[in-house]
Amino acid sequence: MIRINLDETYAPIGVAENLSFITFDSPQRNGAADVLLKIEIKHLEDQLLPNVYNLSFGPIDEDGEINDSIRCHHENVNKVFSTIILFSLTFLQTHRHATIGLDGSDDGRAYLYHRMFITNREYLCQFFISLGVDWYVRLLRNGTVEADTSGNPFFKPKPEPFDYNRSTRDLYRYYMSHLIPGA
Amino acid sequence: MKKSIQNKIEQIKQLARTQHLAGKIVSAEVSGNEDSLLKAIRNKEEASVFMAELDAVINVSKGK
Repeated sequence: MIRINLDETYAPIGVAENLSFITFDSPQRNGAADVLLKIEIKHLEDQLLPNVYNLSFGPIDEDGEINDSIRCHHENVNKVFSTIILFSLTFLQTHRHATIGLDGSDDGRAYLYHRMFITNREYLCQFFISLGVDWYVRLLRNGTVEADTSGNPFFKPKPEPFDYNRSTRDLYRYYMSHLIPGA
Repeated sequence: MKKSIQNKIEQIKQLARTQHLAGKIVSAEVSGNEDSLLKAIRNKEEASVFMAELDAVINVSKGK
């Protein structure tokens, strides 16, 4: 269970001028060397989705890119996620109309995000409006579902206020945060 | 907002400014990724619908 506490975060090592990324060292268990983690906040698409950003994070490889295949055994997972949330808050304070999303297309990560939103509901509500996004497909009157030109189901993303009663067996596909007024 | 947290935020903002001036972090580029939301939005019309729904949900949540 992840517990967010913004008073307990890792010190940043590098920060991009426009706050598009930050790096910090995460101590590892069993005496292993610290791992340099990177948090990136990327503008999805200027024309189509103004003010929507994707947040990703993970260890970085020699090229400075996030590489999810590197296994980590963080000494303090709470502190890692608290650092991620603090950076999100910093970014949103300087981009007040922005909404940051976490991609939940991977089941493991979606489970982690879902639990984090629920466990830290009251704490995060001080700073963020939390949202979930599901993919829907339209049922046609003839009993089939709307399909694209290749015959694949025509899914459409639909956001809603985060439903804290939803169990982890019913994960969202995408998790989003927007700054509350005054935060 | 707790003062200690806002102080940390200001330190990050300050670091972003000073590292840039010192030439330590010059690249603001981020690596590409395969975002599932972006993949699910196929055209401008769908994007407009999604953005309208997102704005509506945010506004409703702000009013609570």
